[in-house]
Amino acid sequence: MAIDLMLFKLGNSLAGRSPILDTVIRILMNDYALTTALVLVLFALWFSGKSPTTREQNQRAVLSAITSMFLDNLIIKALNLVYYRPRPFAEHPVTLLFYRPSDSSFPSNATSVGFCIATSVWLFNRKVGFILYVLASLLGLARLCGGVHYPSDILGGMLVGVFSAYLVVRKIRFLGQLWTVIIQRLRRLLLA
Amino acid sequence: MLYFVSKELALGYLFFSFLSALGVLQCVAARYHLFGLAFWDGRAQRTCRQRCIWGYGLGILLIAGSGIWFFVSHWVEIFAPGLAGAELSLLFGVGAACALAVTLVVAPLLQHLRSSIPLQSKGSEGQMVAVSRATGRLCIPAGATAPMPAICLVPGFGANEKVMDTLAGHMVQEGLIVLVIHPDEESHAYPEILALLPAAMSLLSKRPEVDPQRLGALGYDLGGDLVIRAASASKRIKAVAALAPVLVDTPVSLDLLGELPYPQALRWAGDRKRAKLRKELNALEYGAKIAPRPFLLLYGAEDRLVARAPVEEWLAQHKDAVDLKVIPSAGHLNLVNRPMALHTIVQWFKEHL
Repeated sequence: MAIDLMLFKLGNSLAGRSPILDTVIRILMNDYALTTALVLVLFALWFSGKSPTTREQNQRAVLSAITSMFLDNLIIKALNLVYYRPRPFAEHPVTLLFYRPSDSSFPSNATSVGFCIATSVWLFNRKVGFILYVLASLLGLARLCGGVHYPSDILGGMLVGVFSAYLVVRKIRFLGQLWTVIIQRLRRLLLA
Repeated sequence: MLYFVSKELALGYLFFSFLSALGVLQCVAARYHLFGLAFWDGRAQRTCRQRCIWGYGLGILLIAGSGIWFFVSHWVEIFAPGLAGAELSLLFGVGAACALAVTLVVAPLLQHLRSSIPLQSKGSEGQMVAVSRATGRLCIPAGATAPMPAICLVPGFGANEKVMDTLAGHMVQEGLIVLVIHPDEESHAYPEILALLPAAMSLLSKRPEVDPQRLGALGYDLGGDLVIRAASASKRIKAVAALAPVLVDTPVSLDLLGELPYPQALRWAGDRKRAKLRKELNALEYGAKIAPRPFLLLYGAEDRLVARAPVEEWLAQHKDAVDLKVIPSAGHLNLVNRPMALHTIVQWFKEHL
C-alpha cells in the first residue's frame, strides 16, 4: 500500500503546477470527453471495413464491447457491495481537480469501462483496439493525476475491464451466434 | 432508476452526441465511399482525394464544433456531480440513433436536390421503332452511305435506362449505328424477354444502312444478363459486351449505400421481380457458350451492386472466352458516364466488328 500511496502522490504532484496542465487533466478526466470519444470510435467502427468480412468482424467487436460493458458494470456493482474504499482525498491531502465522488474508489469505474471497450475491440481489430487502449490509459492516468483514484484502483479497473471483455468475447460462445443473427437482421435493413 | 441531475446538461450532452455522431458518419462515408450516408456530392468528384476532403472536413467540423460548444457552454456543470454511466449511455445511444436516422433521410434529400439540376441529354435524336413488344430508338450517323456495323443497346431494367443515351450518342459520333431498346413492364416477363434481342437483330439486319455480318449487342446491368443469354443462342450477334451484368444475387448489406441513397437501396434490395428475372436468365451458365465470338465484360472497380467473388471465380475458369476490363474508381450506376468506359466500349466494338 505504501507503493500505491507513493505512486499516487507522484501522479497527483502534476496537478496544481500549471493552469494549462490542469485544464488538460480536467478535460481528460471528466465523465464526458474520453468516454464519448471511446463510444464514438465504436460507432464509427460499426460502419468501417473495406470488405464485408472485415466489417462483420468490426460489428462483432462493437456488439461484444456493448455486452462486456454491461458485464463490467455488474461486476463493479458487486465489488462495491462487498468492498468500500474511501477516495484518496478523504484520507490524504491532495490537489483535487475534480468534484468529490462519493462512491467507492476501488475499482476505477471509468478506467474499467475504457479497458473493457478497448479489449473487446482489440480481440477483433488490433489497430483500433490499440487506439482505444491509449484513450483508456489516458483516462486512467488523468483520474490518478486529478486526485480521485489510487493507482491500485486504476489497475483494478483495468483488470475488471479486461476480464469482462475476455469473458464475453472468448468464453460465452452463444454470443457469437447471437451476433450473427443480429448482423444478418440488420443487413436486411442495410444497417450492417 | 435513471437520474439526469440537470435537464440542461442532459439535453446539451444529447445534442453533442447527436452532432458528433453525425460528424462520425460523414467521416465514415468519406473513408469508405458510402454515398448513401454522405451529405456532400461524393460521386461528382473524380479523384478519391477530392471525394474524401469534403466529407472529412464536414465530419471533423461537426465533431470538433459540437465538442467545443458542449465543453465551453457546460464547463462548470461538467466538473460537478452530474450524469452517471447509465444516463450517459442512454443519451449517447439516443443521440447516435437520431444522427443515423437524420443522415439516412437528409442524404437522399440532398442527392435528390442535386439530381434535379438538368443534365445534358442526347436522348431526343433517332427514329422510334417497334422491337418485339418493346420500343426502340434507332440512331444512324449522319451521312452514312456504305453498310455499317450496328449495335443493339439493352439498358438495365429500371430507373437507369437513360444512361444508355450517353453511350448511344458517343457511339453514333464514332460512326456506329445504334438501336437503343426501351423495354416496358410487359416485355420484362420471362421467357418473353428472350425474344427481344432476336427481334432487334432481325430489324437491324433488314436495314439498308446496316451490314448484317457486323451486328453487336451491349447490355447494362440486368440488360447485360439478357444479352449474354441471347447471344449464347443467336449466332447473328457477332460481338457481345456486358456492362456490369448482375450474374449472381446482389449481396444485401450496407455496401449498397456505396451506390444508392437509402430509400432507393432498400427498394433495390427488396426488388423480387428483378431477382426472379436474374435467376431465370441465369447468364453465368450461358456465358461460356458465346465463345469463340468476342465477349467483353466491363465492371467498375468500385461496383457495390454486384457480388464480385462468384463472378471472379467464373472468370478464372473462362479466361480465354472473356475480355475483362475494369474501370478504376467507377461504380455500378456511374460506369457508363465515365469517359474511360465510353472510350473502351467504342474502341472494343470498332476492333471486333
